[in-house]
Amino acid sequence: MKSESIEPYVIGNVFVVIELICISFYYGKQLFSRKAAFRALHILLILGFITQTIFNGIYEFNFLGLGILCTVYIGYGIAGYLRIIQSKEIIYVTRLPFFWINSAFFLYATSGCLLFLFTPFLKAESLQLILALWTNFFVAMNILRYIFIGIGLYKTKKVEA
Amino acid sequence: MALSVIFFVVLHQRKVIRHQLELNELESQKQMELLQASIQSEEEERQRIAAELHDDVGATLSSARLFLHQAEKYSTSPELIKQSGQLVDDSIRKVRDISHKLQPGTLQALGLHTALQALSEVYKRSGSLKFDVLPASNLPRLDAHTELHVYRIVQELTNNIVRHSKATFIVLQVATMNNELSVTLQHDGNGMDDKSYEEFRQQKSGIGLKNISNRLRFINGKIAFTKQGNTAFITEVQVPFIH
Repeated sequence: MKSESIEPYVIGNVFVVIELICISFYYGKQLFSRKAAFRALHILLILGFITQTIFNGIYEFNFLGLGILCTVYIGYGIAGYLRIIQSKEIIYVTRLPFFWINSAFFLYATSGCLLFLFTPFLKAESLQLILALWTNFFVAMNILRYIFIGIGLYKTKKVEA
Repeated sequence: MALSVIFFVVLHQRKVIRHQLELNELESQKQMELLQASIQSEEEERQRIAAELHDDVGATLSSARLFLHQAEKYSTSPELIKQSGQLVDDSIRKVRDISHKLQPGTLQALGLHTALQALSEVYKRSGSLKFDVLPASNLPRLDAHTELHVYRIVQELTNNIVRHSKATFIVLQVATMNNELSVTLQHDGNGMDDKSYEEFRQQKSGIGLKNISNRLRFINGKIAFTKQGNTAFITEVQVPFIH
């Protein structure tokens, strides 16, 4: 999207990188047994996003990069669910903090993925449509995301107690 | 779509848990059945040995005693024969006691309290300690299996007290309370508490205590070990009624 139609999103790009680091740190502990593989993957993702942002222009929000990262988060979500299903412990999933936090990120990623991937290809005339989609759908999913994260954090406190 | 994936995971996991719980239940049931079969075969073996002791060895010893009594009249050393006769008498008594311990004939015929009184007589005769059974009024007859299990539990507990605690007396009381049978053993020897009972039960050599624990499981019973004052230990067995 052209920079004259949308305000500079340098902070937005930085937010995406920090979000990537935080989500990767969480999933690294939960899913990756080999730390070297985890580190290699995330360094690649961070470098890939930064490179693409620079290529697009740092003052433009990197929707495509975020869309690609959302597909990675979808992969994490599915891997998380597989880990839960394959677990040999007899425990109801709704009692697991990981289930809720994984669901939160999975919802966020699935709701944002297509939106972020196709936004750069929509014309400027579709800006109103994008804003409507963003406000109504994505923000609503974000509300659910934070509710799930809240439940996950509450369950974590319960488990630790 | 994401929500449907989440619902699928939740439902799938609940199905797996239900299945796992059913499997655990079946395994637990199977273990109980195996345990029951093991105890049943042990009881049958005891019955067989008791019968053989009584019918075979006991009968032979009784015959030997008769011959010795006859020989005493005609022998040149009657004192020797008399001593031999006393030894045979002792052996007959011991065989009878062993047979009684293996298979309490009074239990089925006359009930738990009478069988426990007979058990106390066996220990009293041995002279190792004083053993009193307090009278019990209006004690209902229980299910045959329950009575047998309770009898064996008391027998094992008494055996342990005699062998390990150096007690000089045991007092046994059988009572009913809140639809439960309560059997209390009080003694003045070295006893144990609930914690040490669990510790001994886990040990390899704790077969007797494991037996007690298994029998209690069959009859939904409970056991508690407490110390009363400085010198007395009380063991209480509680079993719900099944008439």
